Amino acid sequence: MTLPYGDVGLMMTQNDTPAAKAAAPSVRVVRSSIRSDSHRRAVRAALPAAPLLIFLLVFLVIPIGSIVHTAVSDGEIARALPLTTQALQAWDGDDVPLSAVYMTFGQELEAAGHAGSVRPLSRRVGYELSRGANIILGAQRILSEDFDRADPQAWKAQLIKADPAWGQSGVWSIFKHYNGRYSAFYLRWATGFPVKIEADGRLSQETSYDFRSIYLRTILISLVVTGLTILIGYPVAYVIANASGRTAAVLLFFILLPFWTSLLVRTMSWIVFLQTNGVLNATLAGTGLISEPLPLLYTRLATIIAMIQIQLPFTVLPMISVMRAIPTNQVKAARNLGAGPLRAHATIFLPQAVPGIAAGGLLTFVLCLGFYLTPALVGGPSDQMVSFFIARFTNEDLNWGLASALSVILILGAGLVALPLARHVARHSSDRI
Amino acid sequence: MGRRVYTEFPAYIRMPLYGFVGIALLLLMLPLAVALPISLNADPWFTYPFRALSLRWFAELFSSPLWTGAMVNSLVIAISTTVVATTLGTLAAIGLVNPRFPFRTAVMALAISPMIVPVVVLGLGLFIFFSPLGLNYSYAGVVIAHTILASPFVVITVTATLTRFDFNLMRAAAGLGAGRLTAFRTVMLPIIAPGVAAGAVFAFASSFDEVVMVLFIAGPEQRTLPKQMFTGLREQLDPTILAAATVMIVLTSCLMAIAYNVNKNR
Repeated sequence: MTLPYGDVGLMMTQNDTPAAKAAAPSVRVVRSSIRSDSHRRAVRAALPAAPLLIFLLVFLVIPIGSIVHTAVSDGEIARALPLTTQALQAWDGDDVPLSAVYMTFGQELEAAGHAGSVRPLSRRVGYELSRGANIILGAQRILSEDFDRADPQAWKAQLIKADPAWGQSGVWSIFKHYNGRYSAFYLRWATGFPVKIEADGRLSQETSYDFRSIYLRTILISLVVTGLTILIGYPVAYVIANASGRTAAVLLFFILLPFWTSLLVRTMSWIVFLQTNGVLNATLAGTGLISEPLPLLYTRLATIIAMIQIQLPFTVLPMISVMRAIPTNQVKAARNLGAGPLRAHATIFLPQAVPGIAAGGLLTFVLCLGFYLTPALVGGPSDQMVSFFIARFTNEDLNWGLASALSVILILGAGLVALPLARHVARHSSDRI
Repeated sequence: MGRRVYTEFPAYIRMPLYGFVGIALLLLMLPLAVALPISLNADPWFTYPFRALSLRWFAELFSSPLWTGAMVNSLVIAISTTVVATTLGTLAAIGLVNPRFPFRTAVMALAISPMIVPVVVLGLGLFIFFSPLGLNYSYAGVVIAHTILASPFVVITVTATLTRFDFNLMRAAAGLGAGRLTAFRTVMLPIIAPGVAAGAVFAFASSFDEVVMVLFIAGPEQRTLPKQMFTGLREQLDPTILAAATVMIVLTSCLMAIAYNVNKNR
C-alpha cells in the first residue's frame, strides 16, 4: 500500500541542482502542490483514528491534566480571605499582626460564612495546623456574639477569646503564605516534607503519613515481585518458546487462563486459600504439621505471592516472543565448539534473550508500582502501596489535593521507567492476545 | 509455534527444568482450582472435604436482588463499553496501520497508555474531571471510564489483524468503482471481522472484570458484580461470592474460547 514516497523525495532533491534553478517558480508550485497533497493524505490517513484520539484527549489527557492542576491548586485561603492575605503581606511574621488585620479577618470570615466557603477554608487550614479546623470554626461561632464592631481591639479580643491560637503567629503565617491560587503545599506534603505546624508556628511533632517510607515500600515490593517473576518466568518462557506446537499451546494455555481470569477472582481465590480457617491451614493442620493456624493472610508474604501469580504472564509473554526469534543453530554451534550446555546457554542464548527479559521485567515493575486491588485485599496495613493512599484520600478523606499530588509523583516515577519501554510494550503486548 | 525441539540440554538439566516449569504452572492455577469448587460446598466453610454438594450458593446468587441487580448492571455496562470501544478502536487501528499516519509511534503510545497508567490515577483524574460535568455516579461515566481501559485491547488486536491484511484488495475495490465506505464494508470488514470480534471479546471481558474505576466513579445505582464481590471480600466472606466468581469465570472462559476459535479459523 506504500507509494514510493522515497522516489518523490529523490526527484525533489535532483530538482534543487543549479541547472533546475531557472525553472524555480514551477518547481515551487510542484513542490508545494506535492506538499499540500501529502498533507491531505496524512490528514486522510489520520481521519479514522480521530474519534478515538478525541475521546482519549478529552477523557484521558484532560483528566490527567486536571490531576496535575489539582495537585498545585491551593486557593481556599486566598478565595475566602482576599483582603486578610493582602493586609498580612505587611506583617513581618513575628508576634501577631496589627489589630486592624483581626478586624479585616473577622469581617471576611463572617462574609465567608454567608458564602459557604468556611468549610473548605477550615479543612485546608486543618491540613497544616494542629486543630486548625476547630480554630477556624470556633472563631466563626463566636463572631456572632455581641461586641463593639467598630473597634479593632474588640475584634482581636473576641477572636483570642474564641481560641488562644489567634494570639499566636501560626495561623496568621499560614494566611500570609498562601495568598495565591497555586502552591506547592500538596506536593511538599506528598513528597514527605514536614508540613504540619503548631499554633505558635513551630513544626508539629505530630506524625502523620510517612510518605517516603510508603514510596520506598512500593518500590521495594515492586522490585521483589519483578525479580521473582523474572526468576520463575525465565525457565517457563524458555520451555514454552522451545516446545513443539501442541505442547507449547497447552503450556501457553496454562499461562493465559489465569491471565484472562478476573484479577478480583484471582485475588479472592488467594484469600480463600490463605485465610486462617482456609484451605492451606486446614490441610496443614489435618496432616498434623501445625497445631495452630498460621497467620498467612494480610501479610507481606501473601501480597507478594498473589502479585507474582498475577504478574507472571506479563513477564513471560514478552520473553517468549523474544526467545522464539533466537536462532537455534548458534547454540548448537557453540556446543559443537566444545561449550558445555549451561555455558552455551549463558553465553549465546541468554544475552539474546535480554530484550525480552527487560521488556517483561520493566512492564511488570511499572504495573506493580500502580497495584491497588491485591494489596488492599490480601495485605495488612503495612503492605499498602501508593495507590491505596490515593484511593483513600480521594474516597474517604476527600483530600483531592493530596491524592492528586501522590498521583503526580506516581505517574512521574512510573513514566521515567516506562517511557523508554513504550515501544517494546506496543510490540510485545499483542502476544498475549 | 513449535518450530524446533531443543536437545542441547542433557537429561539431568532438562528433567529438573521441566519439573520446575510444571510446578510453576500448577501454582499459577492452584488457588483458582482450589477456591472455586468450594462454591459447591453445602456448608458455609472454606475447607475440604465437603459434607455434601449443593447449588444453594448459586441459588442465593440468582435470587438475591443485590446480586442480580449487580449482574444486570455489569452486563449493561460491559455491552455498552464493548460497542463504543470496538467502534473507536477498530477505526483507530485502520488509521494507525497506514504508514502515512503522522506521529504514528506517539499516537500508538497514547492509544495503549491506559494499559500502563495506574487505574487508580485514571480513576482519580476522571473523578475530578467528571464532578463539574455531573458524570460521576452515572452509567455514562462508568461506560466512558471502561471504554478508556478497553480500547487498547481492541486497537492492539485489530492492528495485529490488519498487518496481515492485503491493502491491494482495497485498491482493487476502488478500481472497480467502489467508494471508500463501500470498499470498507464489503471488502475489509468481512476479512478483519475475526480480529474485530476478538477485540470486542477482550473489551467486554475487561469491562466485566473491572472494579477500581467503579469504586471511584460509580454510585450505588451502578453497582457491578465485581464491586459487589469487592464489598463482600472486605466485609464478610461468604460462599455466594465464590459462586459469583465461578459465574464470572465461566462467562469469560466461554467468550475467550469463542474469540480463540474465531481467530484460529479465519
